[in-house]
Amino acid sequence: MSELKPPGQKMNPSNKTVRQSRMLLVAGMHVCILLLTSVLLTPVYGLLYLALLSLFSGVRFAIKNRGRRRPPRLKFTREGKYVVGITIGVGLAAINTGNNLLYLFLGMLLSLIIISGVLSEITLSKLKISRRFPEHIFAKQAVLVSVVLRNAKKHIPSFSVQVDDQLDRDGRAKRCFFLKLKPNSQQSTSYRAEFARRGLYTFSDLSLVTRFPFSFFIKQKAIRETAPTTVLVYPALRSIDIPTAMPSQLAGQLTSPLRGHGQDFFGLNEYQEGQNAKNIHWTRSASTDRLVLKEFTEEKNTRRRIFLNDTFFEMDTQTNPSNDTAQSMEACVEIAASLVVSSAQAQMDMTLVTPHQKWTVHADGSGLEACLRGLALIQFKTVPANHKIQMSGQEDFAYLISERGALAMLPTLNDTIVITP
Amino acid sequence: MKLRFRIVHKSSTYLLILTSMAALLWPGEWSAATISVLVLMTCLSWFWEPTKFPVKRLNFLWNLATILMLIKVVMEIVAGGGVLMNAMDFILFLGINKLFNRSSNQDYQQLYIVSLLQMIAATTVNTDPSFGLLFFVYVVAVTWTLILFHLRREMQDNLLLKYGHSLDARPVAVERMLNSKRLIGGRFLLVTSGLAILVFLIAGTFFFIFPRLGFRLFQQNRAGQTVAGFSDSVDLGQFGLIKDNPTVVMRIEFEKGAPETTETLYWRGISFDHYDGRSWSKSRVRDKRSLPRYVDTVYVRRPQLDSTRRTTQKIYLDPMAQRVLFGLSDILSIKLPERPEIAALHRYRAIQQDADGDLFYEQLDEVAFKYSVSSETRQPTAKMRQLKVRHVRDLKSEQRRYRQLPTNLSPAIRALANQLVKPEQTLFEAAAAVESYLENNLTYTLDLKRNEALSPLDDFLFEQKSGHCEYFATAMTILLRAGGLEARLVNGFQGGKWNPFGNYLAVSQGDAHSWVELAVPAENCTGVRCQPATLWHRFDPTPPSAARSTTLTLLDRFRAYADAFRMRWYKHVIEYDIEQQASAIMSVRDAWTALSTALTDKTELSQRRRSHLVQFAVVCLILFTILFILVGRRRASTTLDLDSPPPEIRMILTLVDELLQTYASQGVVKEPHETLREFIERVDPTVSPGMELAERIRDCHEQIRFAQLDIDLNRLQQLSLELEQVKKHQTKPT
Repeated sequence: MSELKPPGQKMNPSNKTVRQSRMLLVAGMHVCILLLTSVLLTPVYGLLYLALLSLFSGVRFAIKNRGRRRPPRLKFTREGKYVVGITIGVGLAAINTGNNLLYLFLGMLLSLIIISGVLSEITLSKLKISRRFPEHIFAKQAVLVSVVLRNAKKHIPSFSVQVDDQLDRDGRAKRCFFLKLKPNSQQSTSYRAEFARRGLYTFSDLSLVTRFPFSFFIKQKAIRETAPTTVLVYPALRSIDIPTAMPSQLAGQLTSPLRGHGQDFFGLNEYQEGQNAKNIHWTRSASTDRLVLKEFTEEKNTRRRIFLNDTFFEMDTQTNPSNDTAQSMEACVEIAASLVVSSAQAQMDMTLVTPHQKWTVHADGSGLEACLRGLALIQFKTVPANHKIQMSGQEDFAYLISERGALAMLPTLNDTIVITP
Repeated sequence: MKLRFRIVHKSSTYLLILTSMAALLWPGEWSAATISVLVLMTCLSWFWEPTKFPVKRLNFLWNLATILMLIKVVMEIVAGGGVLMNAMDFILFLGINKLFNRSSNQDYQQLYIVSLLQMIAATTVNTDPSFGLLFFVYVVAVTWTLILFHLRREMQDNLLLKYGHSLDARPVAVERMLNSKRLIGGRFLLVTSGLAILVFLIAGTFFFIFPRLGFRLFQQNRAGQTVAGFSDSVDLGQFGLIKDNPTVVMRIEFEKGAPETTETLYWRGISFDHYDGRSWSKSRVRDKRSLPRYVDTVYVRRPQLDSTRRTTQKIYLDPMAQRVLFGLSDILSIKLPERPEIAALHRYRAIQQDADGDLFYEQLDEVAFKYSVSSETRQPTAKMRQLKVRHVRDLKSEQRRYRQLPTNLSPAIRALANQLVKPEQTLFEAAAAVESYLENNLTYTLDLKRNEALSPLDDFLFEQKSGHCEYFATAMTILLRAGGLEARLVNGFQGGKWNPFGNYLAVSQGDAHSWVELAVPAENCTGVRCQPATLWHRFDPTPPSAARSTTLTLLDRFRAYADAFRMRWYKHVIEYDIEQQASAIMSVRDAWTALSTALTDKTELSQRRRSHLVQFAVVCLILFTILFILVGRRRASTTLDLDSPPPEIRMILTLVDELLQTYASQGVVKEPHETLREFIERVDPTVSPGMELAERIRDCHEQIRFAQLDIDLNRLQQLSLELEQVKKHQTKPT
């Protein structure tokens, strides 16, 4: 956990003094009225005035905080249940025996319970929490979510605070723990999270939990963020081999006559120091008694296109895709995303085409984020069985990703691919 | 001061268990050997770290020992042994067992429960003020221990894994954290001690407000003191030997504060009329009658002097095995502390008087007896002083038992009596002669030597010629009786020590004293028959033992402190009951009534005071209202200041404006629909101030405005400077 710098002073001190002065003056006015009521009437009226004042203040406070404060949830821990049980037992024993020392002991147990409740309330008060997600999140890939907890109390530290984040859709909370948070300071920590599916996630609820100081109770306070945090999760990436074998009819068309770092054999040459020793032709070197290096042709920058069918053909009997179909469609998206990322890593131009959208990722990586965003949000559509889908391409290669997740390379030079069920 | 977490936790755990053990063992219910073994085992367990010595066979032995101990306890209970004491034995054993086997958190938890049980058990056997002190220490220890244990467990449960910048989780070395000195310091202990004091105060508040409506099925009692000399029969020589015992028997508060001298205060207790040569006894033991009570007062005798010569003493008498009531002679009335309003709640109390006029009390509970005594010191009249011994000898008194002599009274004593008590002397001259003889010819000592061949009195008068107060008083009584007068021996207390901290006179067992009372017949007693004596005059033949120091030594001061605490402890804690609760409520009611009366009093003086009070309140009210309005205006003028954005937001907004102006000056204008990010991406990177600076400004802007992160103002100033420099370069002519 790293400690960040303390936040700056947020409140104007002169305003605070003014507010305190006003409060003191109001208190003085009430004392004067109390005195007047008691002296001019009788002290009973003074008491009545006090009672009315307390009632009015209570109602005003309740109205002011209506809907703003959610009462914290209090749960007994196992130790708490024991302590309450012992307290009840000691209380009964004290009543039965009239033993004053048992009454004293009972008082101690009750005060421990009360202090426990008050301290846990103080611990959770004035805690500001914020959550930071990584910039890029892929499904099924663990990420670290950073949680920053700030203690805005001026003099009192907070101990053993647990932050529960309801990230999982199945309701499991992600937890992180802060052992000690000094007054007027903040700390950050992270927890490991993994999103099962791509898409847009919105989080608004966090809860602060503490068992401090005696582990008698678990006090939980829900924190609702004013602006919900939205996270876009990209499709999961798969480990796939990009088919590089070219169709036979294209052989030779893409070979360069220049020396380079491609895959086609260019010729042999004498090995110079500093060159990659992996490419030494050992047989020839042995026969010629000097080191001979294999050289390759230059790889021509190829333009590739991915066709992703995001439509589902409506069958006679079913209008919605079955579970298997939906899974395989998700697999298509994942493969598409994996191809896009792999291409960007290999510094190749790539265009992703769906029947309704098109994204281009350049060799320098630009356009990748937009493409991944598109894939994260892509929705499958159901179309009639006789519907025809047209996807045209002008690139060198095309990968066709079908709804079954099959991956194949097609010769698509200036071709139009029509996918039908 | 930095402390290792593990050591602090261990120390507080030991403090907790030692405190509860001390509270249990303090009253001395266990033998010294058992206590020594327990203390030794506790000390040994400190060095026995189960994590360092994981001997599994020992666990088996401990479990076996526990089972055997349980069997022993059950068998002893079945055999008729006390359930409570045997259960306490088992609890003490469990405590030691757990101290040696504290390896896991669960063990610590069980140790705390055992300590709690020990403390609960201590409440039944320890009523000493030491319990109060130990209870306070326990509260501090329990607060420390529970907080530290909570932190320890939270560390172990929650810090098992930590994620670094990489996704690999690595285990956190909990042991390292437990040995850390960064968590706990002196400040932590200070704050938690403050918390413990708060716990103690709240516990005290609860203690006083809990209604004491208990069934008192197993009511806790304090063991009453046994003071020799106040039972129906006393062997000669026993009573005077308790001079060295400093245990306080009763505490007396006087209406007029400290008395001028305490030596003249004789706290009369019990009198004896029958002497058999070796021991004193009461001949009419069963002849007791309960004195009638009027609301809260029991009248003992009719006052004969005016009220100005009476003294009132508020006495707090510790429970005694013998229920004798003490007071300064002559006791006129006894007032019990109940208020009439709560008379229905009082515990059963009754006052009895026997044939000798001695007073006794009855009370069901073994608690201190609180009462006020009104007494008057009556002096014999002139006519009484003129009564001759001869005249008194001839009276046929109904109190002949006060002339009883042992059958084997030696002729030497009779001869001495005849020598000292002469028929022509007045009663007081004869008594003074005996008193003077004893004072001048015999010496005071507590180092008694006895010649068994002689009777105790002969041995004292003619052989040893030294003894303590009981011998002197016995000798004088027997000599007076042998001279034909009516006399009796009285046991009680003399003097006492003034406690300046509690403002009371503490009378201890060491103040025990014996003296003589001589019957003085009534003035009109001239015939052969006479009414019982109207006056018993006190004579004290015992010479002063040693000069008593009036200044308090350090030890005396400590004892006085301790006794004042002890009195308050018993009075306000151990014997706190519904009577005192009701009394406290009544006091609040009385205070309220007094306030109401003071405020609504119609006298001229009060009216004047009231009008001054009203004027003062009105002026204050007006002043406060004016000030409130003025302060409110000032606040309104500063409201804008409150709502203005923080400096970093103002600064980043200015910076972004400047950046956009720089671009605009080069013909690149941000479209209204564009975000800053889109605009910068659109702009040619070669356009000044360059992509790199623009992106840094954009990142800061997004972090401050949208991520609400705290950005260092210095960083913003640096960006501002860089932008300024770029602008300067831009304006320079090429």
